[in-house]
Amino acid sequence: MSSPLYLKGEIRENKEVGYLYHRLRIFLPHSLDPITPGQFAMLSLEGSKDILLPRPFSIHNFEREESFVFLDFLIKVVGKGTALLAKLPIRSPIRVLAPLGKGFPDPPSGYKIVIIAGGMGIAPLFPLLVRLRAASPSVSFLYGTKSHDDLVCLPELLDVDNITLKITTEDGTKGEKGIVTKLLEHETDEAAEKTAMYACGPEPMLKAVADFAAERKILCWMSLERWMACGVGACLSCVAKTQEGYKCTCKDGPIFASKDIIWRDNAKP
Amino acid sequence: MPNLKVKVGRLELQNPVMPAAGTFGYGEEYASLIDLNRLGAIVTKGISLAPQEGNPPPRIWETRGGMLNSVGLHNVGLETFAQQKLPFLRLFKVPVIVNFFGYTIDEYAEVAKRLSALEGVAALEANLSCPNIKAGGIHFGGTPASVAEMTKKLIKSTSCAIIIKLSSQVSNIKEVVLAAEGEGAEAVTLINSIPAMAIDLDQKKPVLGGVTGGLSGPAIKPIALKAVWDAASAVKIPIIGVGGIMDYRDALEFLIAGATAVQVGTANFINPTTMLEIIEGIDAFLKQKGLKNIGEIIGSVEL
Repeated sequence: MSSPLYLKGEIRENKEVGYLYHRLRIFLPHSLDPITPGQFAMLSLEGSKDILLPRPFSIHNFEREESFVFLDFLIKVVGKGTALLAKLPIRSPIRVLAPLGKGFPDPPSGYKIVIIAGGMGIAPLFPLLVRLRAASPSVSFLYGTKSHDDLVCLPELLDVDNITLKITTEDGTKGEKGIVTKLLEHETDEAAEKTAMYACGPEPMLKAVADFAAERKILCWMSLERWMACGVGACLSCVAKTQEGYKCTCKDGPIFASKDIIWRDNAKP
Repeated sequence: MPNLKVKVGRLELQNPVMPAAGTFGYGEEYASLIDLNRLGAIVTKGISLAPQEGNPPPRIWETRGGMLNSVGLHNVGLETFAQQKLPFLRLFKVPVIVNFFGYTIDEYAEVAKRLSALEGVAALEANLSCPNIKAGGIHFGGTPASVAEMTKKLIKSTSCAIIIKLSSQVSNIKEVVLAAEGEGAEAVTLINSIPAMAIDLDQKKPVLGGVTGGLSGPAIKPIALKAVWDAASAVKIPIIGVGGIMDYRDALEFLIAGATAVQVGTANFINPTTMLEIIEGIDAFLKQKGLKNIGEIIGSVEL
């Protein structure tokens, strides 16, 4: 497992990629341990009077060199912390603790891959797609959002060759109308034994994916999101319930095998 | 180079800065981020006889100037701590203070006895002030009589140094710390997080899975400072000050108010190197003031 570093970085790019959506590119003047898609970083604003704790974000893209690293984050403004991050001008200092958590495991060789992204769940799944695409015989990417404007990663996805891309929007403004999990039914059952699924998105979606995988005994990993404080497994704030009891989303996750997650009735494990 | 060494009971610390229990895991979580050997001491997550799974999530919520937690003393239990966590801590030259709790006085005593038999445990910090468990914790730290009874029992059950961690939520802090001192506690730690809550407007439900939690962070610093100042006027045993310390200036306020050492909690989450920056800041402050020994500022507050 990689050891994280706490570094002072700098905003190099802050691009609006849709209403409420921003793509931040952060420069770190130091190398990091190897990064696996699914890993995340804690970002903290220097000297902010409005927020206290750092905020966790999936690493969306990265460029790792010997003496420096670029980390990209896809951010949706949902509260005070994300609103401040979205407003950061170029060259702003930012503190980064990364890389954190465990990334997505690779599938067994020769497996067909189905990736399911709901809304901002696209953030860690795009780099996963880039990593797995070459090695797998078949990759389906199912991407669902509320509306056309929320498909922030669509241009990048359209650039990826040799994948089957399927889109849903809840309002029907793009792709098939409805929620993304209904596409799962089209993914053929006969190949279940040789299929690996990867998912990230809202919790009800994840539960539906987990149920689908469990019924068909399909290998399935998913990224969970939790409020957290330390990011390194010390404060025990970000736990999710698993077959082995409460596990830290930051250190034991954020990637869990779907069969290990115990869901509550309202779909929050 | 000013001398930063302090004595907390029989413990000799190279400097007065250590983590607050529950904010630093078992030490190993931060070992790749800071040099643990530079700390005054390492304070572990609270240990109980049996493993505890803690409260249901959500366990954390940020407030203005602070954070709420309802972790609920989730810990690996004494056996796993002894076998899997403590050996790593023995690799460091820094004293290890093990925070602990129980659900009855006898259980506290049993945990204290068994922990003190382990190699590498320098002192025990009894948590009599956790706001997050219903039956234990704060229940035993509420009155001078209950603190006296617990302290007496702990001192009898072990020869290890006993530190009593107390709450600010008592009617008279001086009487409570006097009770701990009177029964042989080597030091007291003040304060724990303060009972608090938050409500989700849409659901009309408490935000925290544990319903209520403990408030920590800069919001509670002035309360903690007052508690330390009150206690310092009442007892001779060392006081470890804790509550919302974010930088060396906060730490110095506690030392001047009468704390012999300080613990850093919430600030570790924001910047894992905070404690090292505080040690350096205290050192620079003493140099700047022409002081040779940290003892010259401890309890130096003037009225």
